[in-house]
Amino acid sequence: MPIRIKLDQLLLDRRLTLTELADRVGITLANLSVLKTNKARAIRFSTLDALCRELNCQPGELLEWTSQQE
Amino acid sequence: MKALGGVLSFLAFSISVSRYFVAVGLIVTVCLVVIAPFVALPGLRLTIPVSFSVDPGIIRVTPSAPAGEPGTSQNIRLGSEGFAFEVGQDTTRARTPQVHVRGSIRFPTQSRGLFLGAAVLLAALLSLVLWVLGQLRAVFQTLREGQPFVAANATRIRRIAYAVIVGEAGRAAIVFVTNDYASRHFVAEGLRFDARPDFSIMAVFYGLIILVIAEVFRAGTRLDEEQSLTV
Repeated sequence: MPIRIKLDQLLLDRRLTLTELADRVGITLANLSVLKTNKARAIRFSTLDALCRELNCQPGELLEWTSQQE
Repeated sequence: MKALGGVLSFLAFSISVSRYFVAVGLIVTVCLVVIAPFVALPGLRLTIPVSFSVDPGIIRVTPSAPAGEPGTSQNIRLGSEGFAFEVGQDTTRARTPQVHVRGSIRFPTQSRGLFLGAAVLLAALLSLVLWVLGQLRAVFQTLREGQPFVAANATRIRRIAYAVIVGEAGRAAIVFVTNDYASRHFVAEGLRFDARPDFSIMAVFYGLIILVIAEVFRAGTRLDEEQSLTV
């Protein structure tokens, strides 16, 4: 998937754990793990909204596009 | 949901019981194939599937009801399955149409080769049925586990569809061979064994329907996967 989620870096910057973020956003740890490991096929706007709100960032800081070759 | 669980349990039980009986039948058939060349087979009777043409002019169907009641011999006639067209009675032409019938013929035989051939064909048929029941059982297993939308199930349903089509082709080939045998060995007044493939278009149609269902299932599996990986 050429779209990647840069959750690792944002969590590190905000000194948050995945469990804490899951609690704040209101999605399960399993689903957040799917997102973090780039296994997700799609992300809902509501999830993106909650993540941006809790991490205090823009969607562009959370998502990254890379070409298939990389 | 509880009722659905009951239906699923009943179907799973039916499939398991059917598998057991088919497996026992297969074992017995294989044992017969193995021991047939070494033992005498007294009083051996063979039943083979045949399709034949019946001349309604010779083989007549008459009502068992007493005379005077509705249902006289005039409105009883032999007919083939499916749609039929009846044209008004033409007294100038007495030609009666042939009616094609499917059935079986049972006869005593001493031929070991014929018996072995029939037993091998029966073993092949039972193996196919056992394999199809195994595929169905695997599908029901995933259904009971609550995870029926897996790619493997779409493949299993597709295999069942192919088995139905191939099974019908095999049956038609067997009937062709047995009809050929019957036409060379038996004569009956009013019956004619036709050495022609008795291919059932309906069975192939059912196979195609199952094939379409398998593809719909495959698409459903993809949608379910998309849904489960949407966060």
